[in-house]
Amino acid sequence: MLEMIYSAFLILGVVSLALYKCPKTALWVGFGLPSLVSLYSVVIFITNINLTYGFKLAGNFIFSPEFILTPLSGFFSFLVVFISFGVGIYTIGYAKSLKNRANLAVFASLFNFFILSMLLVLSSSNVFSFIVLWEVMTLVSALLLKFNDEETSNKTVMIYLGVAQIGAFCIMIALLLISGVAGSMEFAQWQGFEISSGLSICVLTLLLVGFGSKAGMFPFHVWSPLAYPLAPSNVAALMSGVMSKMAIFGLIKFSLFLPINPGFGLSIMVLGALSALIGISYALVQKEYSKLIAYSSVENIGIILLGVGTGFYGIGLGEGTLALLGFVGALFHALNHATFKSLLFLGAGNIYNATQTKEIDKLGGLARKMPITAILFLIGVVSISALPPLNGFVSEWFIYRSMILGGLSESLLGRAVFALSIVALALTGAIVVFAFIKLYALIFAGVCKDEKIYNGAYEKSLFMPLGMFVLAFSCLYFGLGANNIIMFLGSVVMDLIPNATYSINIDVLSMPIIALLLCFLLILPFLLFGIFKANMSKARLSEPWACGFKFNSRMQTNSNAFVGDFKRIISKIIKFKEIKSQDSYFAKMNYESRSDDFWWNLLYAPVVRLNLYLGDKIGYMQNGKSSFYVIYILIYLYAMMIAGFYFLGE
Amino acid sequence: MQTILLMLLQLFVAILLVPLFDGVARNLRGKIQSRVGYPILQTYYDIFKLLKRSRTMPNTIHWFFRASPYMLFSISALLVMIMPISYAGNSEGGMISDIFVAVYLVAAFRFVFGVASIDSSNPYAGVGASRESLIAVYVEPIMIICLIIIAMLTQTTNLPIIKGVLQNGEIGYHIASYAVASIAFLWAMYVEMGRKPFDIAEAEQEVQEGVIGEYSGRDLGVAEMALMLKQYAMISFFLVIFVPFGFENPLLNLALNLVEVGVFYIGAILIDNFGPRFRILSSLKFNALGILFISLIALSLYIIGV
Repeated sequence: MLEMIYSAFLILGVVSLALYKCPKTALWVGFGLPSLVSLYSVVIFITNINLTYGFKLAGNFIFSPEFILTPLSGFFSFLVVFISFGVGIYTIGYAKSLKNRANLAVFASLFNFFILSMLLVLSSSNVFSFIVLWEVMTLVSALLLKFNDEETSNKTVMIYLGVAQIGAFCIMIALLLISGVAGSMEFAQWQGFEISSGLSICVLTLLLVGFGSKAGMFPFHVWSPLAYPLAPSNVAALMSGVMSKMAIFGLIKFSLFLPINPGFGLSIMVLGALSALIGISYALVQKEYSKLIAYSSVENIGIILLGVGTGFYGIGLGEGTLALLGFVGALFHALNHATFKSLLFLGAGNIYNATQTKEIDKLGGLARKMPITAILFLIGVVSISALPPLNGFVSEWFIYRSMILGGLSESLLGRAVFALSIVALALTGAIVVFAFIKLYALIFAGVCKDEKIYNGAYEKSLFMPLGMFVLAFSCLYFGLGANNIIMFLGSVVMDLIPNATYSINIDVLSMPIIALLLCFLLILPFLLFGIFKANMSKARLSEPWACGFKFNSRMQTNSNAFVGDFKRIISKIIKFKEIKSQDSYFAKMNYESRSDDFWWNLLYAPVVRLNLYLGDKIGYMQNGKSSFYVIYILIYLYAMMIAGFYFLGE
Repeated sequence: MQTILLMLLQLFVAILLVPLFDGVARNLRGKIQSRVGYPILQTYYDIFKLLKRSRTMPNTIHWFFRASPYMLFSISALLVMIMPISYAGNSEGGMISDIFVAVYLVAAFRFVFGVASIDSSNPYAGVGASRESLIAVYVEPIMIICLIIIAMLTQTTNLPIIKGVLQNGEIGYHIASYAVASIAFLWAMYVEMGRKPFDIAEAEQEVQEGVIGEYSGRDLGVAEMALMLKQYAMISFFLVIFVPFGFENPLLNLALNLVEVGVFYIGAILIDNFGPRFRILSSLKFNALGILFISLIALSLYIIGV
């Protein structure tokens, strides 16, 4: 079963590469067929969620690779193919806009390989194949990033690869340390080994840094707001929606091999709370919609980490219920974030396709031109703002509930961290609503400030809304059918922590009733109108009231003014650069306000500068004269000889 | 089933009586400013008149603006329903009556408000939406801090059960964190009511009324009704959690609640009329930071276990 799915993606990837002379066919082969395969595999992964199954690769390689799916990796595999299904359909419509920039066949082939590499990472069963496939996944995503050629794209790809390399390095060391202690490279044999507590803390830290950097956790988040907006929007949807979840998977899977102390859970929570707050504060002040969505990924990873941290804290204390609630919340939010974040990125691609601009300030009123995109985007926005009765609310409710349960613990530090994390999550929740009012309303509502863009905007292809529809519908379903999802996730988590039980009644909240009541109350005023014989005539349309002035589209609020007061409040934390420029005395003054990532300047810029400085100094040695190189070789040989004599002599 | 019926009864009574509270408030405001105030029934007259009027709308809108008064009404009506005013102790109501449902419904109210106001393209509405959201950034954490203290003390987020536990008197003002939290929560609810200094009555252009400035006719009537229902729900939220008196009989509970809401409404009017006005940022600095501090004290009292 599993081998069929994997080989289907492999064959489709190779075939679409072979079709590079006829990109139009490759479009259907490389995006249409994978969505069918994905749909099929969604069914397979869901029906087999409670099983552990896999296959062994035949043949005599250096070693015999084996691929095994446990319930946890089965869940994440489901996540991969489920998002790929929606994204695949969307891309059939979207790829036309990439036609002039790249060969669609190559794009399609890489798309398939990207999905395949993520699936393989999930099912790899030993250290060697995990590391190799992890790197392949990073490289393929970096290649996909390059399809949008912009001024800064090389720099962005380098930053992305750099951070990913640091992370992969940490992961590799951690896994090798575990396998050294356990005496085996196979994950299946990592059981019942003795590990000293110092080494265990060291390995856990390495895992947290390694996987955190891939997920986009604070302070390793700097690459995500650069890379996601650069990527073509279908790739951004996969990267932010799915690839960042691979890191969550790795963190949960590998940390559980080790003895966990509660402090590990608490430190994950602190980092998660910081990611959430910092991510959303930066998201709010962005002026480009794709950057706003990208920063909100950092925030959502933070929320997922709050759940994961609660889970680890529960395991550390040996409290099954707490661990269960935390992990269910984290996995549920991972699923939800994958759904609505991909939906938003796809919507962003749709907007960019129609308008060719990334600035929020040039847009407005698009809902009248693109009604289907608008309503699908609205569903995504409502979900991500965690408003009832959609899915974001349910998973955040779970995380809140688990954190409240954690806040009952005996230890003072535990109570403090949990209570403050809840406050951070609440603050995040308020800012999220602010940010997504801005995102939806300034793009789709009101009037457009640029007449030309407004007139040119329309729904370019029906496949794009169709792909978004799949995800939007899932947002509704995951909200209203939350109890089913929780049962499903509960069985996944039960497999991880066998001694857990549903000791408190957690499916007490009934989303269908809330939705039903909201709908009923929506109609109630009309019943009252009937009783009181209200005036039911049609509304007369006129210009908005502007205090007696003639209304002008520039009177509407813009993205900078909308968050102006907030910017003034947090200007102590985030520095805003005001750039004023004027070409000539009579020309208009240009104002620009930039919000540079403070953490980049604080943590990364010094390292980059140090490397540049060192490279500059080393450069003196590379003077291109062959005689110097001979001297270097001689010095090296001489040094080796001395060292050899000293160490190996006697 | 009985719970659902009680919820609907609450909603019915609230829809019937909230214009009266508003009328009393307007009458009192007139008295305080030494003039003859409006008649007590003025708000009823207003709403009936609005229902009979035809409407006008900006020509820049999409469906969201048209639908939003009804969405606002639906959200605030649900808020009234989930406040366990007349029902308590049974977990059945907790299927929808939950602390976080209440908090996030308030956020949903704000979301609809914000999007609708930008959709109207009115410059004042945009400013109003921005300020509403900014105030929320201050208020929501304070609300949550107070509520999680209660949730941790009672070990549940289910509002009817919380009310039941509080009425039994196991948890009450003898617990320091609860007592301190009540101050901060009262303030948060006052802000959520949308009164001065957070909504300036005489310059209603901007903050809250600016947002609904483009509505007219029956839409405006429904939007006003939604705002009044939200005020009622917010006061009841405070009463349910921090004034834990009650009877066995749901109808007596409801009557008691109406009296208490009346008292708090008059109190709010007094603050409204005697309080000073600020610019938005200095207002938040003066009012919100102190309260944030109080709520953090309450939280730290909980953490050290008092």
